[in-house]
Amino acid sequence: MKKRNDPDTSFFAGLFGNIEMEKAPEGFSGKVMSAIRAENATVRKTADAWWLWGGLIFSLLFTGLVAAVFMVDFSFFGDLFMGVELDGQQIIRFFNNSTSIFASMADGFDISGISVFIMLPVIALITIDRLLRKKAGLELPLI
Amino acid sequence: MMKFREDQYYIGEVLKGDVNAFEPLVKKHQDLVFSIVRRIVKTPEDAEEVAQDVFLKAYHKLGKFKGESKFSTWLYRIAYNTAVSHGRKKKTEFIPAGEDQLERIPDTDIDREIMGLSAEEQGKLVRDALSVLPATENLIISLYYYHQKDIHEIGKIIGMTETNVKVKLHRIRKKMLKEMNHILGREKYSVA
Repeated sequence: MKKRNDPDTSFFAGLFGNIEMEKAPEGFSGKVMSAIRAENATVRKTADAWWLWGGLIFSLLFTGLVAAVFMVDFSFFGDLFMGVELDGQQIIRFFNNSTSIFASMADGFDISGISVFIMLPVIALITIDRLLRKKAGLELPLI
Repeated sequence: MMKFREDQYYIGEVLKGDVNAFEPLVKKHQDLVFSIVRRIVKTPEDAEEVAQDVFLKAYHKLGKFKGESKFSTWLYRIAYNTAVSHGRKKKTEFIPAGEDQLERIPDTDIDREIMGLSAEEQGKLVRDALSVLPATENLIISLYYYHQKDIHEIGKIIGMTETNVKVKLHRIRKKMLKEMNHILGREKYSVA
């Protein structure tokens, strides 16, 4: 019991000694711990999703790298824009044509074809994210 | 009665990744947290929900607890802030102490009259007088007289200076005396 220099202490302390304060309801700590464990499970799920995101980004980068290697005729020192011939047709032409198509599509928005190419994987990731959320109930932290 | 170790032991275990080590902290402090919340949140159902929220917040913020104050003080401060925030959302009225009311407190000595009541009657009288106090005042006087918290700790919990707490306590006591006097004068006091 703490000592207090207050003339009312004994009177008020005596009065308060006659009342009973509310206590936490039965099973309260169990409910709190269940809520904490449930939140922890969600956090782990999100952490797993980071791995998923990492995998997706790595896959995209890897695909891009393979495409680039393919375009320089399997040589890291070749000219990317020369492309490689496949069945007598330059693959790079398809790439250039695609760029032109995207550039013309983006013309109205005053953005370059390259920006469209950067945006495409992002749009792909967002789409995958939405599908995963809807179908698998996964929570992806990036979006 | 369950025996607990020092709070710091459980905090260390939780921070090492043992979620279950948080349970003794909940069990140890749940009654006072609930009591603090109950002073401010009107219904027991809402109070339970808010008290749960308090422990969830404490769990998530545990890494930020630097040990500058006692864990209990830190926790009770979270409880007070969470309850007040809930009260604001629910638009609970925080009635300021009316200075004019305090001035009209009669100088009659009601101490003896109250002490002449039975313990049960005194308990009811105090509960009734507490019920008319604004939430924070109810909490301050309960923390001081019922939970035996010192002025410094109450200040930390409520976010007031020690001087402010002392002034508040003085006013609350006068207010309670006035209210008890009013109750006693209004009718012959009896336990329902």
